[in-house]
Amino acid sequence: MELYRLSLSEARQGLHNKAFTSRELTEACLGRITAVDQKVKAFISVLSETALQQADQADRLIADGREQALTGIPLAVKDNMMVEGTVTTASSKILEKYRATYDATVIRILRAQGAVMLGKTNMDEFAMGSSTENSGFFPTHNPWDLNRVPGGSSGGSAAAVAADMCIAALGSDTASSVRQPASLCGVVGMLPTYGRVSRNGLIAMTSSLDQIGPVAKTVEDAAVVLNAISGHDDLDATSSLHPAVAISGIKQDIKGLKIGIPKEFFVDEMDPAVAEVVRAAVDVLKKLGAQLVEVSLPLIRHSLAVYQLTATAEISSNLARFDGIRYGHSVDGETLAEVYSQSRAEGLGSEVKRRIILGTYLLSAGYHDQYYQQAQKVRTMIRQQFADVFKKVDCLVGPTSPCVAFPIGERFNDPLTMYLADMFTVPVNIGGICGISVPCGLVSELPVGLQIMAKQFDDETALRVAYQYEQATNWHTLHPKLD
Amino acid sequence: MQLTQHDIEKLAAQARIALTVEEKKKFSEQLASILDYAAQIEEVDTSGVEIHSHVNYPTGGFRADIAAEPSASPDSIDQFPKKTGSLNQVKGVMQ
Repeated sequence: MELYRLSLSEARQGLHNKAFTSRELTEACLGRITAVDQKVKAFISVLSETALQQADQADRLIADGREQALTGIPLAVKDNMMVEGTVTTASSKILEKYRATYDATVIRILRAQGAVMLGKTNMDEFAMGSSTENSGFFPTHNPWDLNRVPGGSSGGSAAAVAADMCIAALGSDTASSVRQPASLCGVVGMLPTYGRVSRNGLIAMTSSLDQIGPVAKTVEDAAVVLNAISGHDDLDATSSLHPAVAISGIKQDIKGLKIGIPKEFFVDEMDPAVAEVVRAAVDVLKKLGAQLVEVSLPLIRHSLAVYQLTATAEISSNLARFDGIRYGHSVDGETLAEVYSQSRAEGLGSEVKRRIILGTYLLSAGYHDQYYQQAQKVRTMIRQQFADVFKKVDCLVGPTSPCVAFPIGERFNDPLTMYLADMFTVPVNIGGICGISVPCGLVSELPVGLQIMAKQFDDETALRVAYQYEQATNWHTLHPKLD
Repeated sequence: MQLTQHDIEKLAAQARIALTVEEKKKFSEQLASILDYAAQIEEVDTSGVEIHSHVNYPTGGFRADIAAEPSASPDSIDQFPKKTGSLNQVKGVMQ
């Protein structure tokens, strides 16, 4: 088998046994990028030279017996994470030439582990979108059908893993952005509980919801990456003190586990063929010994509205820093106000401007209480409703996305329809819980994802159910026919 | 919910973004439809509910308040759009 096709666990085994070197593995991934990325367009920048240096360094660590979980593993990183000295754009023209001046905490961890960074992946600008069409540079294509979107906003990371251009990748998830593209690209993607992974050096979109998560070929690989990158960080006051997820725990069987099926996750607005595939996946969990319980979370129907109001308010504040003064795209003007407004007009894309303007409206006098404060209160109530349900069940399952990958351009000019792509993923962020998407079938030759959700900081149960489902099925072994 | 193009102009001025005529028209329509959708949260009875600024609380908390040298990375200075020596050159705030 070609080395680039290996899972992270297989690659670790091969490196450990000296069956191949990290340089050989890295060259295989770089070769794959050269061969297929002109079609997929998953990467904004490929860091071939430094990747090969990191691979050589990793080979020395392995030879000395000093390897860790990610030593020598070629990974891709979403372009909203700061990698010192490299151009870090968040797929925005306003940062087209910006060179990161420090490493994000997750990047420092990857370096300390001896991981190999192949490059930075494309995304919706500042992570605002569900299709990667909102990139300031170019859209990414779904490896399963190049005329369709890969999902978003971590569409580059998901497409890179699906097309075997890397062994695993990092994405970030605020409403759907790791799980939905993972679902649409037929790979595993996880939103860890908010606070598990440091946000230091992640370019902020919605600080109260943004969270970095793994995109991988298998559930075990996702667990290995999460285990490595999670932990408290002094540089992120919202990072938690919880101990890391124990990887061995995910291999326990699920006999007797109570799995809730929320009726709000099977609604008329979704593709009935997707619902059928997900119901068949739920039957597999039952055969594995889980006990299914129908549950209801009536308030989650407001999650998308809460998200829109919370996110746009935080965006208008967070993105005020991109003003053409200290770094990034800058337009000369007669006055300071002109420098600001023209730099932002030229540097920011349409979706970003739309959200900033809406957020400015929501935070203005008179509307702050009506919308923003009310949204925060409803968020508290949704969080409580999840907590109540998790007193009765160990986890929840449902679809990740209401549909399979849609054609490029189909929803681009209709923001509300685009936002509905997040209808099953956004409640998880708003509820402050964790969720993972695992491949569970095909509809019209396109992947469908099963979403498994567990309570705050019980990421291990979500991974365990996903792992057992994956072991009982072979959907994760399917590959897009790109060659 | 109606947002006129004049409303959009005022918001754009507050947000420091120059918009084209086309953008003003497009945003006034799109924002109205998003706000109509989001207005559904008004129907939820939230009396007595606490407001939290994020989803998980309590968190790891703040680090110890220890003085450290400020870091002025030369890379940061290199990226000033306009500079005089190592100083960032900007338009006057006061006219």
